[in-house]
Amino acid sequence: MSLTTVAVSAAHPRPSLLTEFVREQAPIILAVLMLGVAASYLQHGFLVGGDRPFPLAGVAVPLWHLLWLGFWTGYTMALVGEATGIFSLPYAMSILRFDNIHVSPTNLVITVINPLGALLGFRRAGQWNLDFALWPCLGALLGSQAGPFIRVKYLSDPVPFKALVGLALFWLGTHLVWEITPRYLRTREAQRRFTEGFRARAREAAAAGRFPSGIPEGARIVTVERSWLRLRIAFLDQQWSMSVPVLFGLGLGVGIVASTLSVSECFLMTPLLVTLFKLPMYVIVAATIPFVMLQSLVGLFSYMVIVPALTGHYDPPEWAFGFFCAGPAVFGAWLAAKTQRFVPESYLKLVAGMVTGLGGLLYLINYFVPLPFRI
Amino acid sequence: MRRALIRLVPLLPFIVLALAALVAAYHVRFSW
Repeated sequence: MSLTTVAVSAAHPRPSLLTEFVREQAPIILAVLMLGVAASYLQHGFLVGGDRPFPLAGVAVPLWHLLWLGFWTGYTMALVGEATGIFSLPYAMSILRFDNIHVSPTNLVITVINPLGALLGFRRAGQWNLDFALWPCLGALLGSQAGPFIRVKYLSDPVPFKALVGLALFWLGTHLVWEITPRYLRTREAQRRFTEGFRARAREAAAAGRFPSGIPEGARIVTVERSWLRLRIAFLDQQWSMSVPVLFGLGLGVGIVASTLSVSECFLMTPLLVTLFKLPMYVIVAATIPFVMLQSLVGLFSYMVIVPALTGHYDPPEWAFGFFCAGPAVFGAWLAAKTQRFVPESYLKLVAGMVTGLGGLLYLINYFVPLPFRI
Repeated sequence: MRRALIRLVPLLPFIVLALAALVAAYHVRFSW
């Protein structure tokens, strides 16, 4: 049944961090920021920011605050294999008070561009495997087509179902935090070995005066075996075997649920991959970053083309707001890809668990008391 | 300096989150 059996880990010479940044990241960041300036003049006829409010957003936000918003959301979310949306949308709505109809497409602009930094950064770092990314992406691509129809035909009020998803997310978030406790690790041999190996390598590097990386230079996620039924990948000294139909079904299920209820796909996918397959956070990024990139593109296309074609109604994004956030978000996501190897998995799971659990809790609360921002 | 950086790098996500909370609080306090 096996189509291919590969276990190759050729050592590719990697460029220095500065070279990688200058060649791959700086042009993208500069181009996105220049698009922000151009969009500002073309859409409004002047440069937004500072005392001049964003006309569509209806808020005056200093430019540094937008750049900072992009950077911190891009960095934090890429660390756990997600895009900025979960943080940048509620932040824009509740802190910056950009809470009109234009906020959703604007946020889509940020999440389409932002994972590019993580995608290129993790690819250079060896945390990249298209065999692993393929099936969840394909499943979600199909599933996300069904969502809007289910929503229109069968689901007039999605809020109770969203509350159920919130409950599931809260459980997943709590489980992620539970997974870092010594009591849990005592019962999981493979996860304990991975954690201990990471810690030992980081300690050794710190003692030698180097940055405490728990992942050795040159480590790559490789495909050991792939067929229509099973996928086996390896990273460092461990292997994980996954059912291809389950990976595809997971993508399909997440795509249907997320697009029907308008919740973030990656928000569901990351904790599910960690919990179901017991994969380290350093490995799941190989699937979730291409996944979120693809889903954001589909989302933006749907918002800009399909919805206007079907309804005749179009709400344009505040392009400059989106681009000014997206530029530094690309940098933040790239920085996350470069520094994730210095952060212990327990910290990553704590951040992912807190974000997932808190998001779930918000969906749940929103069922009982409407929140002042859209989730 | 380098030793301090070595100790701080693993804590970077929490430092960034703490800074974000501070900036948000500053914005709410002075811009609302």
